[in-house]
Amino acid sequence: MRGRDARRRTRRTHPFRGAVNAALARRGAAGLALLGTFAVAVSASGDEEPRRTTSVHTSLVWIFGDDDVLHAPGDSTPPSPASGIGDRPGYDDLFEGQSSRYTGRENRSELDLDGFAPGFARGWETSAHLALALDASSLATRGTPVYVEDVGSFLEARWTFGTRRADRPNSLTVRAFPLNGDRERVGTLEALGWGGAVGPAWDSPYATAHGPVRAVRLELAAGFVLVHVALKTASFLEPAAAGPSVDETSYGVFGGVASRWSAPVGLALDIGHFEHGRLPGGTTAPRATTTGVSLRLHGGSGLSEPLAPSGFGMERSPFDALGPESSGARGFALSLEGAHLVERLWDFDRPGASALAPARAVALVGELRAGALDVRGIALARDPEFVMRDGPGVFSGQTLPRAAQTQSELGVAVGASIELGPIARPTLSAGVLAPAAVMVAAVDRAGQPAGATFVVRGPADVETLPPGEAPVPVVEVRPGLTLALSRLLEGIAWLDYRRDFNRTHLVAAPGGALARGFRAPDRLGYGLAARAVW
Amino acid sequence: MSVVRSLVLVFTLGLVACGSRPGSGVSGPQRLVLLHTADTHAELFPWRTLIGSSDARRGLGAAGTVAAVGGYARLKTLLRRERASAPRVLHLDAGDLFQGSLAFERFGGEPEILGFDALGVDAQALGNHELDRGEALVHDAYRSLAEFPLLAANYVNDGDGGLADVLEPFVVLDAAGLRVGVVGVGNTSTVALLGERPNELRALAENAAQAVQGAIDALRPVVDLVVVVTHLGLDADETLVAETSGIDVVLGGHQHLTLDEPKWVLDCGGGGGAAPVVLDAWGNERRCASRRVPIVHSGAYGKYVGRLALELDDDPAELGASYDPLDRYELTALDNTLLPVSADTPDDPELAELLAPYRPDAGTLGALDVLAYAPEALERYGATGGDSPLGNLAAEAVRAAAEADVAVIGASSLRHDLPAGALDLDELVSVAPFEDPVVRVELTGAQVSALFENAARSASARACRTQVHVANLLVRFVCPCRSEHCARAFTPETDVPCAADADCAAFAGACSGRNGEHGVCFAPLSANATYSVATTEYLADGGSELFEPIPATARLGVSDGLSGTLADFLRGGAACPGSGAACTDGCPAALLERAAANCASDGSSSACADPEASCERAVASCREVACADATRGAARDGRIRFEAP
Repeated sequence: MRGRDARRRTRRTHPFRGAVNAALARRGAAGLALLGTFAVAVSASGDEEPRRTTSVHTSLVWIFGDDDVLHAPGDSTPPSPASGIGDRPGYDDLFEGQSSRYTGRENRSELDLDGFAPGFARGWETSAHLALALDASSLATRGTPVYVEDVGSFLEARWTFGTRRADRPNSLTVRAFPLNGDRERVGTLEALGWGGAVGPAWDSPYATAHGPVRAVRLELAAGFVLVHVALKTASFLEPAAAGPSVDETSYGVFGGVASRWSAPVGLALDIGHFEHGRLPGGTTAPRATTTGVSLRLHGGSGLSEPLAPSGFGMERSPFDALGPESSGARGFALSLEGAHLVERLWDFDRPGASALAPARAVALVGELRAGALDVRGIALARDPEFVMRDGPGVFSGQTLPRAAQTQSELGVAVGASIELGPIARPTLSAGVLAPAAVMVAAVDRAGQPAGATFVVRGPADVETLPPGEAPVPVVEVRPGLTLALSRLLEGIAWLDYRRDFNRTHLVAAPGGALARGFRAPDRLGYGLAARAVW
Repeated sequence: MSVVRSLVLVFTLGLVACGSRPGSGVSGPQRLVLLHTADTHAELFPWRTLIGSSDARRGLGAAGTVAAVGGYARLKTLLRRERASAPRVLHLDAGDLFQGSLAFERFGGEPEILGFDALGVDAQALGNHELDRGEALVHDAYRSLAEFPLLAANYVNDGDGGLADVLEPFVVLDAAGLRVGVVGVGNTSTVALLGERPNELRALAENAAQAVQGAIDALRPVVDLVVVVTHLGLDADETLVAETSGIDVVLGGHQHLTLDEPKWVLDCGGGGGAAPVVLDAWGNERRCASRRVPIVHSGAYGKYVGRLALELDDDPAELGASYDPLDRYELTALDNTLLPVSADTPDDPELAELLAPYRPDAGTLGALDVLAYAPEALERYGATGGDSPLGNLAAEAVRAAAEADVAVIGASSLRHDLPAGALDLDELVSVAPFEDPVVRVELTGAQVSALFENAARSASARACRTQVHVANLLVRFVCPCRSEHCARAFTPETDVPCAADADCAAFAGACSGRNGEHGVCFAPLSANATYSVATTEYLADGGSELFEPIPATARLGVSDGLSGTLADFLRGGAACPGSGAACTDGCPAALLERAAANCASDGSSSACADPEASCERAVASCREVACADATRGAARDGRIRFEAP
């Protein structure tokens, strides 16, 4: 399965690079759309000077609003001051990070420096790509470090062979990631990705690596199939048999096969095995590993694959602009994706023994376009172990106790938009998400409940509820309106209502200390935004 | 929704009640050894200290001598030996791994964490000094280097990111089949950021007792023993135990205290009341039965390793009627010893090799044992006796060490002026040579006023020169003293600006400003209010006839002596303003002089060969070395004045 990285860039380039790129990229087959252009256009002469192209993709977003008008700042987490200008963590969607690592509210520039030269041997093409992203929001405050990060720079050599079909060339591609290869992973949806960085927070089993993660991918596109294998390495500090801890290499290998035929149904099967350091416990501790398989079936008519909701809302992510076929297209697409992992952890119930703990997730994504109407939906189920796959979770480095009860995360979200001419696009999104939970409960001698309910929203986002409490499904409704002022600038307005009974916060207790309490469940926010993407 | 919750609660508890408690890996009497360190403060290598009689009794060295103690490589030798001698050993650290030596200034925590990895630390509580350089350093260093969890149950996430990525409330450790729940408690009293929302830590401070109770309640069904490791300080530890139920052992830190014997505290409300209760994390009352809980503190800077050998049992017949099987193991006996990390302890060669790149060269500042630089000589006597640069510095040091409201020390504790230039331990020992432990006592305002009346009469007999030094107080003596009341003492209770005492007349206060400089009004001591007072054991015993003798049981030992307290205080200061401008300037010149002497005795270091590089190093070092100046209290500031009758 192709990296999310390439998919993102592919989508982003649609409006700018035309139908050929789009067609290539939509099939998810042969690399970046940009490179696809070159693949078609360039002869096999090796005497040409390298071509250099530079492009910058930027989004600037100005927002006025309030993420929660119902609460005073101190009553909410994160704090919600009165209406004001600027982005806020509270604008996050309920389903944010499930399908896209972008929120749509980024002030961000991505700089792409591309080089291309035909190979000296017939059929060979070479390219290099430096992709840097600048978090422009950090420019707003003096003294705040400005973060520039690699977002998928690579070196690539490609050999095109055999019968050439413009829409489906056979090729063998080697792509090496010299800077940051952590986004090379398994899984299409962010929510179901594993073995690498996922989501807006870039959660990853390699987050604790002692240095960068690097990768290389070999991809064979031949006939109706696309096969790839990849290798990741990262160093982790590990206890040594003699002497102090040392850097040791952890390996990740993964690969898969995907269809690239033009039939309405396609599939992709990926497997992977990732090491990420060693479990705590000294030199005799086993290596921490994640092994698994992902399967994705997709099909449809008129649309080759569905675009998952960008975040939960229907306001487009700036780096996820829809392709040309979105305008006036008719069709539908469905994608079913599942992942089954086993993680090597210490067995909580068998001291001294490790165990392979299963972690499962499945999601169904669909999209329907009928002229101006676009309806998308996502349904997903993930067990707590899967939600915690990239972090310490509840019992760090250990399986969940057998005595603990678990509740899987279950969610459904639907979003719809309709194009009212070239300018206006009202949207409506709604969803319900029952968060994953781990429940430990017992009764002491006095008949009082003991234990706790751990609501697991992410690898490092565990919220504790009183023993016996079950998490209550969270509901969100989000109407919005997008007004395009030009091809550059659009205005967005939204209302956001969320009802979440599981949120707690600290409240003033007698003596001035802070103690836990449930937050009032209702949250109502609004935003008025101006967004330019160019 | 409450109906839904209630139904779920009933259902869940019903299921659990029908089931059994999860089986443990062990049963019957067991032994567990807890190795305990705290406040190691980046002392990677042995450091010099004056060996007091308590130290000597514990085997650290010969009393009255200066010896190089501590150091990670020696620590490792002891820990390795202990781990080899018992089948079930855990090493828990109570925080403040960072800050205190030049290693932290230069390497930003890397050698400390790598060293802790090598020591095999099983878990660490978050100390306040871990946050000295903000969230980013903790986040990055612990995330990529630490092989042990960093714990703070009382730090509650307040938004995504920040410390949430590296902090855990608790960890369950497997001690050869015994499941030990370790709950961490971070220091909050000295972390000002926690009072803001949002803050860069993305965390808020929860009431420690309720946070810990929440963790205990969560862990009780699945662990055999609950150990709490804190960075709160002893008195806060006692409060924590009294306000919770279910803790088996507390390993504490923060105040650098060394307890030879555990302090036993009754939990569950301290045993008072017919139906004792504690508050759980949600503010609900939880009925409980009181148990005695041991608190141990094992000192600072790696001088000692605390070794707590626990005898445990889960037999209801042995544990009595109040035993709750849900708690599994209870403590039946313990043996607490302090293992000295003395000069006689051999280095662990592997750890020594790991830390070798972080060891300062002979010609560099780190090898000079320089604690601070004094731009000017610090006199011990002021015009009024008590208000002197050295006296004020020492009083501030004592107060800081004890975290007390105010400090009062005797002038007789200081035997010499402190010379200008680079200061090392030898100078401090020369200035404060007595083994006179620093203690903290709780006194009423009336008692504090009484001691100053005694001081006033003493001063009156000494031509209006007092023998006390104070911190965080203003004192006005009437001299000569011809009446019953000749002293007034004031504490900083207001923020009213002033230039002279007359500006504070509205509330009979005194002004901290001097010579026309602006200060703030201090208010008179409140007779019935309680003040924590840092002082020395000599004074607390009634020496110099200032205090009424204070019972030993009412004192909290803070440190073994004034020289060590001064050293700790000076090390924590900032560099002198504008220091390190040129080689010929005071500080670099002083360091170069030291380095030259050091190189003369150890010329093998490459750092000694290049005078130009030495100059640059000295200039750079002076931007790091702490400054013994007015910023640390080393100045006359009018805190003690004499007035005519």
